[in-house]
Amino acid sequence: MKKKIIIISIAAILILLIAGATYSYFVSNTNMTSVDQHIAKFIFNSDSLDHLEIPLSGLKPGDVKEYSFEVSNNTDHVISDVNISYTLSLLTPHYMPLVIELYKDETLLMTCDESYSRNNQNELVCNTTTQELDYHEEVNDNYTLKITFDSNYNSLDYANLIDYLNIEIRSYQKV
Amino acid sequence: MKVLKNKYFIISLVAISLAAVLSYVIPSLARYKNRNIYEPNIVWDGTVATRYKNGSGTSSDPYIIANGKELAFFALELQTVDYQDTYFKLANDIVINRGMFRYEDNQLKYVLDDVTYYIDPTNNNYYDTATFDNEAIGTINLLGNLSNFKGHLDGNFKTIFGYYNTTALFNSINGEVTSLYLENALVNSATSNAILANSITNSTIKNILVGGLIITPTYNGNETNHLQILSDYENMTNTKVAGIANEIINSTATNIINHANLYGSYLGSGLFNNVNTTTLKNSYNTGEIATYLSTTIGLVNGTTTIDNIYNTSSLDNLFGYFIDADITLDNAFTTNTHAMLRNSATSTLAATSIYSINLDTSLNGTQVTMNDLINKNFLTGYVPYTKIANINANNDNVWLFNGVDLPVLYFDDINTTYATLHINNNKWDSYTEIINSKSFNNNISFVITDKDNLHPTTKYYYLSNLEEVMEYSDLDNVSWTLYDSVVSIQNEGKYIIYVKLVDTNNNVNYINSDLLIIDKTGPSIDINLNNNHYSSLTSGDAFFNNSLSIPISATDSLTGVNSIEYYLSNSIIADLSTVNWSNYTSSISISNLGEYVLYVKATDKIGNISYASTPKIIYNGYVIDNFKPFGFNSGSNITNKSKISFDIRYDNGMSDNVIHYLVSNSRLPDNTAITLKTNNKVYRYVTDSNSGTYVDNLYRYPLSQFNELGKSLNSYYNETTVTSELYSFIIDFADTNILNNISNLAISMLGIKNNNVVRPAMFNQSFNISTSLLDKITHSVSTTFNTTIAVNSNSTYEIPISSVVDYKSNYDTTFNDKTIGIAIKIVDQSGNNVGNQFFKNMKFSMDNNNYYPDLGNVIHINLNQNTSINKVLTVTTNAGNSLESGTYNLVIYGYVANDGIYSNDVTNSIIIPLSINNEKTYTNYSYDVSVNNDDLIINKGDTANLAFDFTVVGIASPNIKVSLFKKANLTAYNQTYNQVNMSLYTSATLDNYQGNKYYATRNALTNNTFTYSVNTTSLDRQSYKLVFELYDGTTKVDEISKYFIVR
Repeated sequence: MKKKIIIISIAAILILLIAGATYSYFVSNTNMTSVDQHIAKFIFNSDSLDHLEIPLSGLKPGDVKEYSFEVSNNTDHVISDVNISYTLSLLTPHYMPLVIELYKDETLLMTCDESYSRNNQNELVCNTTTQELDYHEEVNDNYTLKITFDSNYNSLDYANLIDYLNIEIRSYQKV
Repeated sequence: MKVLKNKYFIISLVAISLAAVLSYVIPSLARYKNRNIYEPNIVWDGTVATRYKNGSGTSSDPYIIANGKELAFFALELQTVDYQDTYFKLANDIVINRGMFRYEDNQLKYVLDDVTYYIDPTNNNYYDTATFDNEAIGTINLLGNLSNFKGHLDGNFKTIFGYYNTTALFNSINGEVTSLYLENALVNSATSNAILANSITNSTIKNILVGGLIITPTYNGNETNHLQILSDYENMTNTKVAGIANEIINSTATNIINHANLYGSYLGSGLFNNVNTTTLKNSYNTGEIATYLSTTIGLVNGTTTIDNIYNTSSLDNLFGYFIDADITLDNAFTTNTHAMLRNSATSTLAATSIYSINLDTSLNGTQVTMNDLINKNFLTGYVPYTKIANINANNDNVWLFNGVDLPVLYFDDINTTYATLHINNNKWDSYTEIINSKSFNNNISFVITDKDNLHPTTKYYYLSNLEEVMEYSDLDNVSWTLYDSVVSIQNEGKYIIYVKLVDTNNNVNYINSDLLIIDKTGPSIDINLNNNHYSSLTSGDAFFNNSLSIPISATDSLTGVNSIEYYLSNSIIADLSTVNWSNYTSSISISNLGEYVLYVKATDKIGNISYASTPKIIYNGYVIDNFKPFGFNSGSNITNKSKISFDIRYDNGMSDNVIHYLVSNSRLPDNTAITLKTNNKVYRYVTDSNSGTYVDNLYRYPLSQFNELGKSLNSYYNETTVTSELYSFIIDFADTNILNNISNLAISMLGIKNNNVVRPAMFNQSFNISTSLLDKITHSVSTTFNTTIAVNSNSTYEIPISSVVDYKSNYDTTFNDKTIGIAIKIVDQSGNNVGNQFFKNMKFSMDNNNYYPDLGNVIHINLNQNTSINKVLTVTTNAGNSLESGTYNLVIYGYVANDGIYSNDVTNSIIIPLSINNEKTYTNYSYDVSVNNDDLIINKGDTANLAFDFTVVGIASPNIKVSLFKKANLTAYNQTYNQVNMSLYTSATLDNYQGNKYYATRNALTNNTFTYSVNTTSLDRQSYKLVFELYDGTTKVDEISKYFIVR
């Protein structure tokens, strides 16, 4: 059987809380600057669905947070010997008025907003188009998740909210 | 016959006999006072009825016997029933056989239609020869005899004519028989018999007249010891016959007459062969007694009273024998020459006023002349009969004297005159007071004829319109008209024809007819149609707007009304003979809309028919429907600013040239706004002081004055464009100035064509307008909130508001199409509204909706309903309000508005003082709530113990209240959270503060933790927040929200 390796490396993920529980809290209207967050690489079984929770914490109106991660077909220079296709799904209940943008190689791939439908858990399900990894060479897809808290939402109603966002990756061997 | 000795007596006897023969030969049905046959009676056909005509046999409701069949039924029943205590009455004369019976040359004869036939008694047939050679012409009807009768029979002065049998009509009477004529009877018997009854015992008989024949075998013996034989009367074997009865025992007999002739037998008595212990009063015999021993009364015994008795026939004796009798005899006479009493044995007699033509020694009677007897000397001390009413006053006023004949009882035939008055088949030949009536539906003609050539008379007549017979004595004073030929009576009316006859000796006699009623026309009909009376077939139309009850009556002053019938048609009927009439019993009701013609047919008792009808009744008009606000509930009140609406329609088709009016029974107040929608157009009319023309008790508002909306002012309702009779009205009194109540106001429409109302107003809905304030809707607001609201206090105040709308029991439409609302404003000490900016940092919410002041600096909360409500107004005050120190009030009031917002129709106000505190009281405090953030995203179905720690510094009496809120929408852009009851999602017992708010801690200084063990099974996947409110005592200081997510 050919070795099918898909390595998805995630750049550093800033997790402020235990996975699954994140919140943002602001006490003033000061603006935040973008912060590159490198997500640490990790390897997961390409045959199984995996997800990643992105913390939405400490966000105040005006804040912008970026989370970078990679999806690659190799690890320690060991390349998957099959072509791999994958899609990314962003799931969030979107209780906070955040603008969620996904960039691939600095190109906006998707904006996850309330135009997407919700699943049974009331989460918005924002799916990317299918991406491909050629097995002939090492490939690293660089993604940046950009979370923006619009400064206009500065009333008390938007204070102390919590929310969460999950990234799910579905990959399969390309035939 | 005995040898006659006295010439005068002979003449008299001949005269009497002649009269007797005349009366015997002339076919006449002598009824009570000379009633002749008006019309041919129905002769019994020999059949037997199955029941009596009607009745139940009681004294008040006797069985009615009306004809021969029912008499035959009576006879049949008597074979098994004696009818003791049962009552009967004859309704009519009953003809058993209509021919006359005669006995001549020892032959029974039957004279029918002036032809003499011969009766064969063996088979009761009659033949045209005495030898019965030829075929029988007919059979004599034989009525069964009436066995033993113990009941009560009222003959009603009717006649049983032509009784034929071998025995008496009654075998025995042990009851009562009164007022009965038994005429032209023929009893042909081989044994002892009588005509009325063989025996009468313990009975009462009264007003009995018997005529006819009784034939028995001739006694061929030669007995002379009559006393011995009659002494043992009960065992007497010799035959005996009697006109009335053989025996009458222990009875009362009053007014008894025998005219019958008796033949054969040993003993014959015109009245009774034996009178025993009986009272006999007013009786006489005129029949011939052709028996071996002939008397009027054969034997008297017992205690017996005989009063007023006489005999005119040739017989042996008035009385045969008194044996063992105690007799009181008063007023008796005989006109024959024999001894009045044959013999007496062991008897006592008290006799007074005994008269005889011949000198009589048997009773020591007084010899008198015939004139003496004719001229009332016979009856002493009695007032003669003049009127039937006198009999009721004195039972003895029953004798009639005419100065020509011997006295007769009032119900007997008086001596016939020598002429007869004829009208068709009706004949009268004497004067009588008691008459019947006879009706004719055509002209009548009468003739007066002499009965024979021996007694010509000069005849006169008089027509009277009186319904009662004139007194005999008054006839002398009448203006008589000489009669010479037939006289015709053509005019309708009631008549009695009087005839005066003067014979050659200037003797005057009178005849009167019955009451003759000429009725040639039908009854007068009266149909009362709403007080309009119709008596003939009527054309035209009559319009009505209400249900009708039409009484019908008919009168006929002549013969009377026999029947009234009616037929209610929906159209005009050309041929009334085809109508299926119904009997009229009560007023005819018309309650359904439609067209009708009521036909009436009345028939009088002689068959004349009249018809009448109403004009075409058009019960239709403008009908009100869809009446609002109270539907069809006449008499309901509306307030004087309300409005009503209704539809009016006319369902009987369209018609040209109809002018339409709105009408009212009271004048509509000025400024009544009328909106009309019809024929796809809308019109409006506002009344003023000149509105409403009063005609026929209605105020009319012509629709032609209604201005069409959406057009120029000169565009009005146009009758020529009307294509539909459907109208919708709104009558609005909002702008009127009605100061006094108006009762029973009714509004409808009217359609007039050619000055006639062709569309009546159907006023089926009326109402009252009330000016009473008590009838108006009241709207008020109230609250139980009684504290001050502190502005800038970061507090929340729950203000319960009751907005009460009382519609009362009447209708006030001023709230229709409007909704109520709550208005909130802040006013300063001068009552002026503060500006919108001062509402900043104050939140007003109700039902989880926030409300903000409008441009008028007033918050309007439209409640979207117009009924009473109870709400809670939540006022949240936060720091930052810039109201300067001073006196301010929060004013809350209710309003009613079309748009739910703006209106001047407001209620009372709730005044809540506001306290202005521009200094932060709580500046040196700190308040924090901490929780393990890892716990804040909970999977649905899990139970999470959310543990909260409170840090409070600088508050004297800190208590923290907590409420749970659920995000209302799945969107980030609406952060509305609605309060839910947090106790529903935990099994723990929470310390309730108020409603859905609970104490997290009543004293944060001593208890600074709170754990909410939330079971998320029943929670939706949503965002929730727990709001922890910090209070210093009752003053809210701060609040912190902690969110959690159920996913």
